[in-house]
Amino acid sequence: MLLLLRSVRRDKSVRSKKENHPDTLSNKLTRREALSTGAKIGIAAGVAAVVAGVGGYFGGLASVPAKEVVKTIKETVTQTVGGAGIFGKGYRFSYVTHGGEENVFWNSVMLGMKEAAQLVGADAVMLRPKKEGDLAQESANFESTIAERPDGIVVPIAYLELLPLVKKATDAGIPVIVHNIDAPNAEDRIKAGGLSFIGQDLDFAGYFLAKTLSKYFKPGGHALILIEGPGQVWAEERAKGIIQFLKEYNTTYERLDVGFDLALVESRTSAYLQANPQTTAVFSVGYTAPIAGKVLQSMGRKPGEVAIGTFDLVPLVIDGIKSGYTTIAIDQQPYLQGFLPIIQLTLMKKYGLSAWDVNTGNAIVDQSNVSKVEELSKKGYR
Amino acid sequence: MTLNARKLTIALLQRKEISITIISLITISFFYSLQPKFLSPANVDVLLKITPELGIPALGVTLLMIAGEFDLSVGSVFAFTSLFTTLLLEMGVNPWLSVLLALGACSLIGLSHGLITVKTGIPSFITTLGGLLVWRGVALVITGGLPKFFAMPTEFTNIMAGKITTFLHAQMLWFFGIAIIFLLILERHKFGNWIYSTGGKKDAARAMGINTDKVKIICFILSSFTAGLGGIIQSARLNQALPNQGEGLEFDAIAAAVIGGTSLFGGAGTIIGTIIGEYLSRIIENGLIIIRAPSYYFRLYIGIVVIIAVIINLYIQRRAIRIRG
Repeated sequence: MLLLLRSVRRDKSVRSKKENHPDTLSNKLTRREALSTGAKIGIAAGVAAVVAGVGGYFGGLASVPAKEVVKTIKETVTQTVGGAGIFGKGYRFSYVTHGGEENVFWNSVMLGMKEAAQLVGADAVMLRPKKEGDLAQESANFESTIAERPDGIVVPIAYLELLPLVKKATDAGIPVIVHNIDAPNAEDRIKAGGLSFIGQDLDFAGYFLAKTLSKYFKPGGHALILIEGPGQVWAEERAKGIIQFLKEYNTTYERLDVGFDLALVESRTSAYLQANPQTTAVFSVGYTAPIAGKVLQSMGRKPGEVAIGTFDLVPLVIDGIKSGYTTIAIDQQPYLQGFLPIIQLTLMKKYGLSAWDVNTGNAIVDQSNVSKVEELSKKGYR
Repeated sequence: MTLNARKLTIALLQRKEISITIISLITISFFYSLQPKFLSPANVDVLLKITPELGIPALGVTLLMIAGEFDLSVGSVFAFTSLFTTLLLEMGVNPWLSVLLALGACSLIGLSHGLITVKTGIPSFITTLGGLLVWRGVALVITGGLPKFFAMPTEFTNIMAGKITTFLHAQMLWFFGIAIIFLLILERHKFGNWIYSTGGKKDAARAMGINTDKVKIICFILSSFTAGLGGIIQSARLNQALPNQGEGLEFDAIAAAVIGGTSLFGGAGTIIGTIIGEYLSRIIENGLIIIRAPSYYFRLYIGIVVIIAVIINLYIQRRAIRIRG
């Protein structure tokens, strides 16, 4: 910084010397002057920035203008929620997830989070990685959040490597609630400090999906299982449940890694179904199985020829069920997974109540009730 | 004295890092004034810890870009190297040897990219775009798309990514160690001059007797090698080798280099600029979390910063040339 200040001073002297020699006043000099002014502005901006920073340090946390700025920014630029309620006013909660920005499922969770935060008047924010399931980014987000010290952290255990961070947050005195995905062994989560689990029993949900769908295809067939998140706990647990039932039901199966990029899902599923026309059932551990329905439709197959079972009520799934190609979907009610943690954390903070586990559901959606849930789904509630 | 002052000003303005330094200071002050916890020891420690593994590949990419070529495959090589290591581990190879073999393999990948680019004359953009797909594909094939446990001895993990004290992590030593070596090569060694002239005026460089093909191939190898090393460090830190790790790293690395003043057309760029550029990316990412802004905004800000940094760079360079003339 000293160096910068000195160079400003010296710069002045360069210019004043030139001004003393009117015979050298030319275009070149004007440019030089312009340069020196430009440089000064740049350097001054740097210096001002440093001064502002130092000022902020000594001014401490409670400097009013800064708070005002934060408020304005939050209200105008960000989606951070500061609500009208007073029950949990002043609490700040952070959600850390692996659900990438393109994952629509997490938008419902986020809606639940926002509305609960509005209801109690708390401030809540959801941190999502740029790429679906990016562990490095998620754990970096987690660590940054711990450094920011919110009043509660909500996180799905998509990777076991997140458990040490749950412990780190707990040790720092920040309550942690696990939602959406529990550790495969709940004991591990409890040991790390995760106070409750709000979500779906994934292994069982996979089994439940396959068993419910088995009404629509005969034993002895072949099933395709689309894996959107290979190696991630949620995907593997559901796949495990599906496979367990398929074995009991005497059905052969193949896993196909697809991801959430629908174009990619379509091309891979299309290739697979062209090569394996004997397939009698298609599952997805995420929400992409309806793409298989579209592929079958374009191949000239009729609805119901191949049973299709999927998870999560995103628009793609609802359209699929309405078209008749997608047979059933299991809804795990993501809105609740966003909504309930805020309620629990607020009660814990305010009255010292304990957290409690919630199974957010094994709700079956098929042609009989799809129109009922469609309206709610459009608004992001189902 | 005035002459010295003028020289100093020119020297300062000629440093490509000056604009990025100013932008960084403004950014830090911005986040700090909104939320003082931004500069809390815990948060600074987080920033220092997560930056090196993504910064090391950016160093290699910078050298290659100065030599006038691109490497879009670094993200895939980043994942490939870690997964190849776990494959060797599963085959019962000694852990230390596994890492050396994997780093050797990723150097060979760089060599192949270099040879293909130089010998066939196709743009490196195409060669390494192919590499991006091929090596991610190989990584997926050898793992079946599943994450692998990165089962290394504790000593190894400590050497790659262990915590030494607060504010000092092993991966920082790797980052700065490699940065210093590259800095010395670029600014003190004749090979550095060769890199600059290969990227700047290729024909002139050839006329001077520089084997530009060889220079480029070596830079390709260094780019792949640093990408692989970054991957190993990340895996050691997370105890996991993931098929999706490092996705998008190629653009992060190029963005860091460009923010730091490296020219897209070769012939210009600095290591210090890339280091600051890399830290600035992470500072923006982390700062947005600290001020509780949703993560959506990261791309938006980094995009703006890339453009502003390059405009300011150009502006200052032109002015510096004029003041000198």
